[in-house]
Amino acid sequence: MASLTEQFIIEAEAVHSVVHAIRREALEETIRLLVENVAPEKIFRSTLGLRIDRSSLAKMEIGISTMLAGIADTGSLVVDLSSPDHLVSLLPTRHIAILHESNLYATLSEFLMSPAAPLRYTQITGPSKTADIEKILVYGAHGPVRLDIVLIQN
Amino acid sequence: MDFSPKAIKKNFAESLRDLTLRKNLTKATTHTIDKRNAIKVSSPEWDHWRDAGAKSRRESLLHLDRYLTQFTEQFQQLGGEVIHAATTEEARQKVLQIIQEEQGRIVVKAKSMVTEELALATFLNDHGIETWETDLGEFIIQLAGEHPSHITAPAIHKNRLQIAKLLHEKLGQPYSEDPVVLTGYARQFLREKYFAADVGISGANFIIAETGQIILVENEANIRLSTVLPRVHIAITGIEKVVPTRIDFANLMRLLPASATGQKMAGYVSALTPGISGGPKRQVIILLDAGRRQMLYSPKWEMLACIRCGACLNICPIFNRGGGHAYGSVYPGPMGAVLTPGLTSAHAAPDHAFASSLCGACVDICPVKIPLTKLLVQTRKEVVEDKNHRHLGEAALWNSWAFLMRHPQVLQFFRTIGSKLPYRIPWGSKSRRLPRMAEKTFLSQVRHGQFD
Repeated sequence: MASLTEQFIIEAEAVHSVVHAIRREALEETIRLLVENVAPEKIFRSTLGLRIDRSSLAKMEIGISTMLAGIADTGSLVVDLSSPDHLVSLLPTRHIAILHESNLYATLSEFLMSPAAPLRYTQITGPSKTADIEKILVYGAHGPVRLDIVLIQN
Repeated sequence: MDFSPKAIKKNFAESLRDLTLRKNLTKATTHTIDKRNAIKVSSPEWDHWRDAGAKSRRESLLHLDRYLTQFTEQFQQLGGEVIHAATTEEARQKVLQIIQEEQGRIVVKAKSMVTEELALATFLNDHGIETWETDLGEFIIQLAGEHPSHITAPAIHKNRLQIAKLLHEKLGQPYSEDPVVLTGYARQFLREKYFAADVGISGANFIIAETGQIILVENEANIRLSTVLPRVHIAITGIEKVVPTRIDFANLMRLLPASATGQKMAGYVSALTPGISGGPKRQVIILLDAGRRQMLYSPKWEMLACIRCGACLNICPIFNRGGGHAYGSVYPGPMGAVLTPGLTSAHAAPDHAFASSLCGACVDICPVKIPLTKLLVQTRKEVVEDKNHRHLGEAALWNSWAFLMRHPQVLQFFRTIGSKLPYRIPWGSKSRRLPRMAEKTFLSQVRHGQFD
């Protein structure tokens, strides 16, 4: 039986998320590499505690935010809709999600039964996609085209 | 093709000749079924999930009022509004009233079959409210001025060349046949609409009684945008969509995306209640009856367990040959053949239940074990027992058959005549003919020792 982390990585990559499993101290360097070649004014990082303005957010190339939880058996992320942070996972062209390994749950039911589960949330599995034209999979339908998950291991 | 359930026979005769349609459709449904099968095969727990899903949907239906009351209390406590609508007309008027109260001018709509029952987008546009379908497939259908032909893949009947031409003409964008470029056109066009919209309208995949949450399942993020950016969110759903607990919901999520699109999990699953940060100031849910209670207290009540995955459409040999439009109703395929007459009356869609070979593939694939063939047979029974709308020719034919079966001498007489006929007996089909009758009957051959 694979560990939760291993299972999460396999499932997340199967749905086209790009997972970067790193140690805590490598966080800044990982993000720097991911946003390379993108103008700084086109990057919004909600972890810096900035006010979130949705129309300017929609013009951003990259949004960076921290996830409430991860669900291993489907490679999903969970964002809390009670915090304005959720818009960072929706409006910019790309989303970089930061997830701590300690916030991984095995299944959706396990997460929903935990005290961490919020009342309003979105479970995100991979980048935005559609297959409405001839069942051909296209990424970036109305939400992020690309989803990077920076998974911080203990 | 006519968008009327009574046109089903005429429509099928037309669509059976459309080989492009059949090719587009079969390619897409086969692809989805293959992906669904792959998940089922790799999930040893599948049968357990299916049993639990079937059980929990029936539990909801058996105690529907209890769970609806519980949901209503929870949702209202959180600041939401609950409206009951007995008919589609009542629901339409309620929606219009809310939009007018809010002085709404632009509406963005998520994909929802219940709003198709209401023909809501057309209704609102006719009332001067600019309304946009935001799901890519629905957007394509709206631009084409058509109806969806499948409950989860509305534009499944169109190929990319048809879509390329449509978007080029309607959006004035450079012609392209690349699905990535075409999707980009829709994204660009609709992004502005989400921000400009006053009201977002969605359906609901489930509503959870214990928590008052509205669940919406999607892949594109158009539902997230439509339900979060406008200042008002109206969700419209059938009363049967309530599930008791979050655990029931989590289990059904094992079944729904796998059966609908062959995905282990859909791209975005949102649990919404009032209080979303940066979200709508007003959240209303309309609980629609429109024939559901009538079905609930009928022998066809199990049909209401349906979670609208569309797997029965994908697997159905009849659906795959006729296409969704041929049914002339909002809901096509096996589930539509039961639901359409069920929500109205047997004679409103008298031929729907006969658009089936009763092969049972739909029963095998249904994630919540709806006995579709049993319900189709029950519907057929209601159609033929409806004395006011009897098909006289057919009734006469069956009565004659019954008479012959009860009178072997008469049957023998006609059999002898039949075997002497120099030509084949016509039976009303141009494409197939009956073989000529054998000169000697099987029975007489046995009697004369032919097989000794």
